[in-house]
Amino acid sequence: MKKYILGILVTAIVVLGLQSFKPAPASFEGEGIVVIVNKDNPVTELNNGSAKLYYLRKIKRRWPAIEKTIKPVDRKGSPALKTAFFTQVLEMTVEAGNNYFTQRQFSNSEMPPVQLDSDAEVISYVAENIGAIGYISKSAYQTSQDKVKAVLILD
Amino acid sequence: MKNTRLFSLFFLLFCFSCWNSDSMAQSNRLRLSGFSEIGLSSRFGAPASMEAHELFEEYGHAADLAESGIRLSYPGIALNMLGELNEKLYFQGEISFTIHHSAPTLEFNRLYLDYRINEKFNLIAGQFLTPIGYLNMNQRIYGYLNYSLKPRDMVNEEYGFIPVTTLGLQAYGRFSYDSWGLNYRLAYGTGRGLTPHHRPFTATIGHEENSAPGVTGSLEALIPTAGYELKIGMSAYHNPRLASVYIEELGGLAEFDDHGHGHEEEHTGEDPALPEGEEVEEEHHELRMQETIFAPYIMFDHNKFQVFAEYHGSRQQDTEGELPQQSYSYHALSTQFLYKTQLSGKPFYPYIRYDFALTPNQDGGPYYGLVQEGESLLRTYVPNTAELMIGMAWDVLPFNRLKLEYSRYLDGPFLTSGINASTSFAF
Repeated sequence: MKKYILGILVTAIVVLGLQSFKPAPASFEGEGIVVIVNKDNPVTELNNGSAKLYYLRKIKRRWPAIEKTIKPVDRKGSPALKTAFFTQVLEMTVEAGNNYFTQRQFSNSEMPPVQLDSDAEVISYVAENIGAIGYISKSAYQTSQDKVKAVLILD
Repeated sequence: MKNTRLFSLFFLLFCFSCWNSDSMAQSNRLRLSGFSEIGLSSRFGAPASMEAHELFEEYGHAADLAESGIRLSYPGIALNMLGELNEKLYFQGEISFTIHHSAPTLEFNRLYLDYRINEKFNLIAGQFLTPIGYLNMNQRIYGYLNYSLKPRDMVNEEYGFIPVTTLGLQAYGRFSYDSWGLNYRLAYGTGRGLTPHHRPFTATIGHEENSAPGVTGSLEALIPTAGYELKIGMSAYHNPRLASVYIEELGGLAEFDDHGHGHEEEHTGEDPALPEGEEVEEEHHELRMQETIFAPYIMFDHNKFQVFAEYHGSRQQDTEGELPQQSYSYHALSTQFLYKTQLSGKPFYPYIRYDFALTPNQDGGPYYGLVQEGESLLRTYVPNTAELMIGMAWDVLPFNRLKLEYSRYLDGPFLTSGINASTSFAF
């Protein structure tokens, strides 16, 4: 009996392990993703890797030039925009992101990202908080360029 | 309840946070969270080591752990509160409601203020996780923070292999360039013997009646590797006064008065750990023991797999030659390979893990550490263990992780095989 259980477990692990991990493709009606920061933040441009490092606070906890705490902004639930951002920029699933921020809170005393409902709320929060970094849809950015600054645009 | 004063401070901070909760929560300045889990475990087969099994049955603490059967486990709930008082000042508190040997217990894990000056230098004051190794700082024994099921003995506070928390001061910071980073932590405070008469010391030869401070230092390098994460860390701990009382005989009893002072006179009595009818003459020796712990680790995190290994080496030295041997060395290792894939669109992690623990060797014979029973200390058998685990973790729902694991003891008194399942979650 025990050998059968062990055999089933090993077989399951091998079979499942042959599946390759493929994040869900990002798609939300053809819109792009815009990563935004506060207009008073001296950062003007970020590449994918830098945006990931800042948002996850992996290397730095403060914006270097202004010494303000980095405050990532997220969306509630799992809308398509969020899934696309996590996949394309953070290179992880939403679930892995949840785990990551839970871990960081426990071990590094880092606040998890603020979670907001809409692009408008994200724009408003980023405009009011100099340390904030968030993501919105391209169409939302086009009507709010006077309020926030884009540092990364993904089509 | 342990650490009453700290708990009172935690309660006051909690009340303050509740009073301000609306504004603090809306501005993301207060975060209340927690962990919990429920598990089912079974063990069967012959003991991995019959000799160790017989010793454990006779002289081990909680000898029922070496028996077969199905057990329901509920480690309890850990509640965490993180608050931002201002741009530079944070506080974090954590309490656990646990069940130890069928008795409910409220434990104070940590409470500290974190003053953030800049990237390179920050200060923590209070009770915090001792910066020894990766596991104690990042995962501990919480099921949701670990991919594998079985909690690691090497960071289990009840076993006392390392000082899991420290009451004192800590300086920490990070030096970074581009995507490279070097983190450091330096702590000073009381890790061992915080409340000496309320914690078991199963991995120490002697006992310290008065809390003694120790020093901990850690360095961790974050090395960019084509966008994936490589962490290499090294930490060390030193306590110049680990123990000052030694109880010589197996099953020896010690009695302490209300102020924690031990009796130095000899006394005899019937020892419950020995076969019926035998008596033992107990003698308390004064001694001076130092403890040094090294804990290197490595973690490589790829988007398709993760490799991890952490080693703990501890040396407890008798500086005045009172004990039968001058030093007692303890070694523990935990290694794990994890594959990242998906099952029904949810993250799925099959893994294989290997742990071992080598307790101090006493003149070639078994090791007997100390465990507290009420107001008495008992010297009990602490076995070597080696265990292989194969399992899978599945994040089936947000903040919920299901696990199934087969474990096989390769050494030690426990039965060879085990099937374990658990559901762990964060909230």
